[in-house]
Amino acid sequence: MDMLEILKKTLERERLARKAAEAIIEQKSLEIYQANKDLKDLKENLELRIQHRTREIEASRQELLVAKELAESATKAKSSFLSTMSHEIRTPLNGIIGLTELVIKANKDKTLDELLGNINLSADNLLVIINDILDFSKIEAGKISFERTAFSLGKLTKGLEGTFKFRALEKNLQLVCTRDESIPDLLVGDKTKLNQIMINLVGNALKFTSMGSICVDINIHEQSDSDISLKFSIKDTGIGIAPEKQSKVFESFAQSDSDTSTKYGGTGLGLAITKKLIELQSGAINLISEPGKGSEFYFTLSFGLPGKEDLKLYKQENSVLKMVHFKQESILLAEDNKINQFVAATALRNWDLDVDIANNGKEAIEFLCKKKYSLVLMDLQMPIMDGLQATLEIRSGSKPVIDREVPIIALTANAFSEIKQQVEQVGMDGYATKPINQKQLNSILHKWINKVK
Amino acid sequence: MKGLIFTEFIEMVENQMGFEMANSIIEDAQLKSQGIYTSVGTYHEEEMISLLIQLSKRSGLSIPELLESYGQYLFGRFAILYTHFFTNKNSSFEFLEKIEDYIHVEVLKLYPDALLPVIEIRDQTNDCMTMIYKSPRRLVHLAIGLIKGCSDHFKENLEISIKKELNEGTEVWIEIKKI
Repeated sequence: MDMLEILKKTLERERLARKAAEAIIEQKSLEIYQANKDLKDLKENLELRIQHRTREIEASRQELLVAKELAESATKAKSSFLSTMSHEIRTPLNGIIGLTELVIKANKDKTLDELLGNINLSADNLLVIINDILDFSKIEAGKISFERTAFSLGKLTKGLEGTFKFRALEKNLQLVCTRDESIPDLLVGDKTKLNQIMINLVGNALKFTSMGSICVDINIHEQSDSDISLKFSIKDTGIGIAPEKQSKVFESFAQSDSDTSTKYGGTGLGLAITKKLIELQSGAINLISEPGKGSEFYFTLSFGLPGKEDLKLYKQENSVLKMVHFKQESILLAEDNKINQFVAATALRNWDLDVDIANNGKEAIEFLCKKKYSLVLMDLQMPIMDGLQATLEIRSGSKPVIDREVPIIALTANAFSEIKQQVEQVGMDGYATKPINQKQLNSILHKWINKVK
Repeated sequence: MKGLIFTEFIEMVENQMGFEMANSIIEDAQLKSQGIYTSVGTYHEEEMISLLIQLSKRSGLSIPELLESYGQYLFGRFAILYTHFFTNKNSSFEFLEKIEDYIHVEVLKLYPDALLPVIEIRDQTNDCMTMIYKSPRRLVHLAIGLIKGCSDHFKENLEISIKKELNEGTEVWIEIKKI
């Protein structure tokens, strides 16, 4: 074979090798293209999914916002429902308490004294239960506030004994209240809440004890120049609480046994509220108990020691008010409820006062345009025109009332701080909480009217 | 076996022994591929053996001799084609110890079906090492040729000898000394 032939063959092989290489390159290019395309598709797919997911999240967020607003308005509605209900419930209760007080006053038959006293106590207890429920909702809504006024610890414990004496006697139980003698009698704090706590704990002790005694003991825990921390102990010889149930008793709506409610009654709210009230005042409550032997609930609370101002206020509040009679002054009572009207009017007339009754704010204004009054008792919740609206109109002078500046006292079932604010804003001079009792009424009159001693 | 081995081989024969020789061994070997090789293709290693047999017949050189020559030539081609394997390598030992862990790993990434020998380096000192060559293709002489090419590339003098052969030549212990 000559060189030409050889080279021709070599060239031929080279050509074919080149073509084979090109085919391989084509193949590889196709593979790369496909891989890129797949990648691009994947990327687009991912982007779509991200968009979709973002839309889902946004929709979710919107839903959550709506749900949140619903929940918030539900809470508001619940709050307002509760405060309305409390008004609805307290109004007839006001009637019972007020009427009972009138009967007690008018009563000449000694044998009825105790029975009437107990009706009063029952009404008070009912009030306690209503207050429990209201308090619970207040605590939930974070609306609790604590007073700092001077009160007598001795009076409080005496009141406690009085409240439960009858019930203890009935069950043949001993109720003993003791305290360390070195504790000063006058303390600064929230008397009402302390009373509430004690009533709850002593009440529970009585409820769950069938024989033996309930001992209430108060001791000094810590003392400084300005404060004193006391340890309160309520010990009973009752049925006790099983160790595994002890942690649960302070939970709301929990009673140590599902049977407890049927056997012993109660809302199951008391201890939860008690615990909250103690803790909100930086105190602590504990329990020692043995089934079959009894229980001891003990808690610590701090109180201030009264200064000059506190003592002055205390004297003012607690001076034995002579239920004195007043010169023939005219009082306007604006109140829509017939029973409340009767109770208040009767008490006022007993003190020689001239009372006119308006059924709503509009009528009250009409009265004020015709006659001069020394004081207006204005219920806040009335039909046609409520107390706040009426006061606004009286103070603004848009109606020709004889005395724009006549003292107006609000009568309200709620003492929420918003109510207090509103009362002040419309220009009312003070407020009294319903159910209004004789003592409250009298002290208001003392303050705002001239009297004959 | 990667096409590169074939294309370089044929080119070496064409350049060093002439087109006639190259053409003859291709025709005589009766290859399935008919000697049409591209470096990016893959062909059966038997064809390499067939070509070597034909070349041995015509040149009078033994197959081991031919493989060693080819290996030495091939290393030089690697240095031109794959410069990235040579960065930061300043001596033959530095290069040789990276064959298994680096070069072969990179080759397998691109060509997962490549058949490569397993190269193990042992008892390495400053001027001496043992390389264990393991491959069922038994091309140890190609490996030795490559080592020689490596020594040429780094301008060193290496003494290469076979210490022992095991398993019918599929495992060979090579001793490399710097002189």
